Amino acid sequence: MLHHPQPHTFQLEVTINGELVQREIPTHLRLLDFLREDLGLTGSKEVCGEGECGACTIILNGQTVNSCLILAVEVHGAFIVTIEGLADTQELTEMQKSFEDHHAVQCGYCIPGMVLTGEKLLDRHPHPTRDEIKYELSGNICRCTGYHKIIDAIQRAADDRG
Amino acid sequence: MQFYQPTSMREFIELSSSLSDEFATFLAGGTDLLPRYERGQAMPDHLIDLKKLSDLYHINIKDDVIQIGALTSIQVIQEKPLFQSEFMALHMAAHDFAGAQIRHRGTIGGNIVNASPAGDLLPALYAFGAVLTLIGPDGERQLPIQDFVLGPGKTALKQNEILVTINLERTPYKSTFHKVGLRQSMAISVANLAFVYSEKNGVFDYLKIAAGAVAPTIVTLDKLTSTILDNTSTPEDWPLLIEADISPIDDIRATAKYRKQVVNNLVQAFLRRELTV
Amino acid sequence: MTDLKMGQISRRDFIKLSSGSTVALLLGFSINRCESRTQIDEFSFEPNIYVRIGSDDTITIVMPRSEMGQKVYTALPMILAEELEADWNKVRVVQGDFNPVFGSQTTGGSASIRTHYNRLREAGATARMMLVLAAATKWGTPPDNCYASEGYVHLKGTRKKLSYGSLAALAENVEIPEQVILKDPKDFKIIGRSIKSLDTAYKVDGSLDFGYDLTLPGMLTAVIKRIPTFDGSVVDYDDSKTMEVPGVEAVVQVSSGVAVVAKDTWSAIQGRKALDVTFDGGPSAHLNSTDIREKMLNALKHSGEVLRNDGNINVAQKKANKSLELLFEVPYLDHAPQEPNNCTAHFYDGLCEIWAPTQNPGASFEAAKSITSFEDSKIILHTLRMGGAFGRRLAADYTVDAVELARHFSDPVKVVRTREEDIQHGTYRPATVHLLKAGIGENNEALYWKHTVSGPQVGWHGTITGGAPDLAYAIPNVNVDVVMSPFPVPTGPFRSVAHTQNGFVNECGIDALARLAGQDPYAYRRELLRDSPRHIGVLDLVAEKSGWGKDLEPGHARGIAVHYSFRSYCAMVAEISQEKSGKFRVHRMTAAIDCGQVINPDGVWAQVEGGIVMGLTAALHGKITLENGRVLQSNFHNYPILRMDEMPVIDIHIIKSEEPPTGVGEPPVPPTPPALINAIAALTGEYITRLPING
Repeated sequence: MLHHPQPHTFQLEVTINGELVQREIPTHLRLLDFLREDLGLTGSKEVCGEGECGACTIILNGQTVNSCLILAVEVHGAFIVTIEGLADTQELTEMQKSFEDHHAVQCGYCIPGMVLTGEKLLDRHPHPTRDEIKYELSGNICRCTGYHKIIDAIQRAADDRG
Repeated sequence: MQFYQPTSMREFIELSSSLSDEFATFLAGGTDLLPRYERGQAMPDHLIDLKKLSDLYHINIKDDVIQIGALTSIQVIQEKPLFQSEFMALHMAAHDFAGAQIRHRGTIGGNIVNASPAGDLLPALYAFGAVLTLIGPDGERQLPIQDFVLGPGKTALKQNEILVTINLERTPYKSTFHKVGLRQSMAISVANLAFVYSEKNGVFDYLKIAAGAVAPTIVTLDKLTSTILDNTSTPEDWPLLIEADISPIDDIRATAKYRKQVVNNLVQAFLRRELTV
Repeated sequence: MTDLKMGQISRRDFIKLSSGSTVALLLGFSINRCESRTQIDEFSFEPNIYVRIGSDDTITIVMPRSEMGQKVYTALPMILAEELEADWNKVRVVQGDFNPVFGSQTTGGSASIRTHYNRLREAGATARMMLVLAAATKWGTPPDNCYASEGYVHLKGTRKKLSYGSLAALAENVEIPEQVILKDPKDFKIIGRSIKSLDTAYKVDGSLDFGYDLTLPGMLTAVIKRIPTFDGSVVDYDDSKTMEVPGVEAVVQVSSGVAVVAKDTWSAIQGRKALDVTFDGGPSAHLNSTDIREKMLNALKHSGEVLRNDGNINVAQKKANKSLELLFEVPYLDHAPQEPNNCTAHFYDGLCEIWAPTQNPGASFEAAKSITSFEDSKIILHTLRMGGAFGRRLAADYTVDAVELARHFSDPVKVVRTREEDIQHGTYRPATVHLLKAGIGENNEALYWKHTVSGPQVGWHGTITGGAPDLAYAIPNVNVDVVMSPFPVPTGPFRSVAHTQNGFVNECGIDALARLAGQDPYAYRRELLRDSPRHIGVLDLVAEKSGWGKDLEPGHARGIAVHYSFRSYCAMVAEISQEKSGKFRVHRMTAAIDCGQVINPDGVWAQVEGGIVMGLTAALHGKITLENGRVLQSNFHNYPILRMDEMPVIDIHIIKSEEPPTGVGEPPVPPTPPALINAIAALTGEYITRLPING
C-alpha cells in the first residue's frame, strides 16, 4: 500500500537565465516540470524521464544535467541556464547558428539538449575531435538524424569561436 | 513531503535522530531515485538532501589511504589525475559511466548505496578492497564494501545512517576495467569486470578480479585468482574456475549463457595477454 | 503548359477565400509563439488555398501536410515559391488546420512532395500569372512584355518593376487563368538548392512549440493508468488516495484506462501512482512472444493467399541444381519518436477544439466525430508540430484519450504519456516470419523463388507483404504467398511499413543465392536487374562510391542491398568488422538513391541518413517482447536507440534526375538491415536471419 505524504511547500529562490525567480512550490515538484509548466520554459523537453536521452538538459551551476532527475527544491540558490537563456540577447549563439547553418536539425525535439551539451563541451575541449564530441554527447539521443551534422555543427561552432 | 538540507554533519545527526521514527529518504545525486518517483515508488514523508554537506565532497590522502567523500561526482572521479595514476580501473569505470549529464550529477556514494548488481563503479571498488565509513545516530563505523552490499538494492545501512567516505588503500598495482553493454555507451552493463594486478615475467604476484552483473552482488573470482597465484591451475581449468564464482541470470538485456560467455572471454583475454599464454 | 481542368489541381482549390473566419481557420497556427497569428487586417491577395500575398510583400504559404522532422515545411513552400518567382526571404509558412479543401492531409507513404509537386507548382504559377497580368494592366501593355522574378514583375527592356505586394490589390481582380504555364526545370532557382529550413531558428532556441509544449489558459494535464493488456478492461478502481494528492482535480475512467486529471504533469503522475485499479487482463492476458512465434511458424505449413505466381514453382524446384532454404524472423517494433504521444482538447460553446501533433488529422477528426456525434462544423482540429512520428502518429489513439476526457471538463485538457506508456501502448510494426526457398539451375542461373510471409492478421495484407510480390529480379519462377493469424497486438505502419521485413528477406535471399551460385553479389544482382535501369543506376553508383571489390582493412567486410519502395530506388553498402567480444561494428554505410527530381538536396540527405539509422537501430537492437500480454520493454535503457558513438561513417549519393519526385523518407530503411547482414555473411559465411542481431 502506497503511503502519500501531506503537501508541503518550499520558498524557492533560484537564478534562471540571469533573473532571480522566487516561487512557492510543492516540495515534490520535479525541476523539469517547474521549468516547463511554472515558468513556461518549454525548450527543455520531456522524453524519457530517466536520464537516458538528454532532451531535458539544462546548465546547472555551470554543468549540464538532466532536469528530469532533479527536484525543484534541490536547486535553491543555484544558477540555471536553459536553452531560452543561452543567448544573452535576441541573437543566437555561435553554436545555435551553427546548428542552423549546417542542417543539424530534423524534428528538433532533441536539439535544445544537443545545443546546450555542445556549448558546455567547448569549455572542456575548445577544438574537439569527432571522438571527443561523440563521447561527451553520448547521453543525448536523436531519433531522426544520424548525428553527423550535429557533430559537424559543433566543430564549426568551435572554429567560429576561434 | 518535508524537505531538509542540513548544512553540517552535526545538523544532519540531530535531524536524523529527530526523525528516527519516520519514513525518511536520503538524496544524493538523485539520478537513480528520481525515475522511481515517476514510476511506482511513492515519495517519502521526509526527504533529506545531503548535497549541502560540504565534508562529503572532500578527497583526502591520509597516510596510505585515499578518503573519497561520498558525494564526489562520477565526473570528478573520471577527471582527477590521482585516480588515473593509481586507481586506473576506477577511472575507467567512471569514464564509461553513462552520459555527461549523469556523470555530473551522479555520485560514488549513490552508486554504492544503490547496490545494483550492475553498478559500474562497484567491481573496481571491490577489487581495490574499499572500506566504507558510515555515520548515523549511533556514531561512526567502518565496513569493507563486500560486507556493506547485501544483495540487489540491499545494504547494511541502519536506519538514518549514511555512507560518508570511501577509503582506498594506495597500491602499487596496475588495474584495468572492462564493460560490456548492449551498446558502446550509456548501456546498463551486461557484465563488467575490474582487474587489479601485479605481474613480472609472465607471473602474477598479485591478482584480484571482480565481476559485476553476473550475480546478485559483485563477486570476486577468488577460486580462479588463488589457483593462478599459487600456480595450481592451467588455462584449461579457467572456464570452470570462473564459472564457479558467478551465477548470472537471464534478463531483458542478456541471457545467463551470454553473460558467462562474456565474462569468460574477457577474463581469459586479460590473462592470456598478461601471461602471454 | 497544363490545363487546369486536366491538371492535378482542381478548380475547387482556386476558390478565392474571403477574409474572416475561413481564412483564420485555414491559416491555423503560426510556427512559434514569438510570431503572433498572422495579421489579417492588412490587405492580401489570395489566389488559392495555398498562398497569400500580403501588401507588405510577405508570401504566406499554407502547409497542407504535417511536419515531423522530414522538412516538408521547407520543401513544399520551395515548390510553390519556385513557380511564383517569389523572393525566398519573404516566404512564411503556417500550418494548415484540418480542412477538406486540402484533400487528404495524411502525411505518410513518403508522398507529400510526390502528391503536391504538380499541385503546388500550378498554384504558384497561377499566382505568378495573375500578378503579371495585374502589372501589365497597370502599365497598359500586353502581359508578354512583362516577366516575374524574385518578388517583382518587371517591364521588359526598362528598369520598371512592381513588387508583388504592391500588385496584390490589383491581382485580386484578375481572372484566374484557364491555362497555367509552368517553368522549364532548367530555369529552377529554388528547387534543387539546399535551402536552410524555415523553422530551424525556432528549434535551436527552444521557442518552437511541439504538442507536448502546448499551454492554454486554465489547461489541465492528465495521465492515464492504462489497461496493461491489449484486450483487457477496468474492473474497478479506488481513487481515494489519488484525490488526496496535491494538485489532483479529478479521476475519470476512459476507454484506455483510468485518467488522473491535475493542475500539472508531475501532480498527475503522483496521483496515478496512488491510484488503485483492478484490471481484467482479457483473453490475451497470457500472451507471450514465444506463443506468437510458434503460431506464425505453424502457419507457414499451410498454404496462404497467393500474391504472385510466375512460371511453375513445383517443376522448377525439381529441376534446380542447388537450392537454399532460409527462415527469416523479425520482432514487433515500436516507433519511439522522441516526443511521447499527446493531445489536447477543449469543449466550449458546443464546440470541440483539438490540438493534435498528428500525421493524420483526418483520422483524429473522425475519431472525435464518432465520440462526440458533433457535426463537422463543430469540431476544429489544429495539427501541431511533432517531435518525430515515423508512422506512429497515423493512429488516433491519443486524440481519443483527449476527447473522451476533455468532454467532462469546461477547461482544456492535455493528455500526455510518459515514455513507458508510449513504448508499452504502441501501434507496433508487426512481427513476421518468412520462409524463403530459392534455387539455381545448371548454369548457376536463378531459377526459382518461393517466399511465404506469415504474420498477424492486419486490415490489409499489404502492411505485412509490401515489397514481397514485387521482387524486381528476373527469375522465371516466382511464387509469393501470405498466411495470416489473428493476434490482439495493435499494429500500424512503421517507417517503410512491410518493406522493413520484405526488403530484408529479398535482399538477404538474393545475396545467399549469389553465394550459392559462387558469384559476386553486386554482379549477380546487376544481371538479374538488367531490365530496370534505375535499379542499376543506384547499384552502380553505390558500388563505385563504396569501392566495391576493392581491398579492405583486414577483418572488414562489405555487404550490398538494393530495394525499390515508395516509387524510389535505394541501394546500400555496409562495411563491418567483428570485435573480440563477438559484437559487430558498423564502420561505413554508403547509400545511393534515385528519387526523381530533388527539391532540397539537404532534405534528401537528412532523410537518407535518418533512414539508415532507423534501419541500423532495428537490425542491431530493435525488439518488442510480449510477456503475459504486456510489453516488456519500457524505455531507452531496454529499447535502445543508436547513439552518437555507435554511428558509422555515412556517405550518401543522390542520382540527378528530372523524373517526377518520389519518396525519400522511407526508401532508405529497407536496404539497410540486409546490407549489414550481407556484410556479416561475407565475413562469417552465415546469414543472421533472426533480428535483432544483438537480441
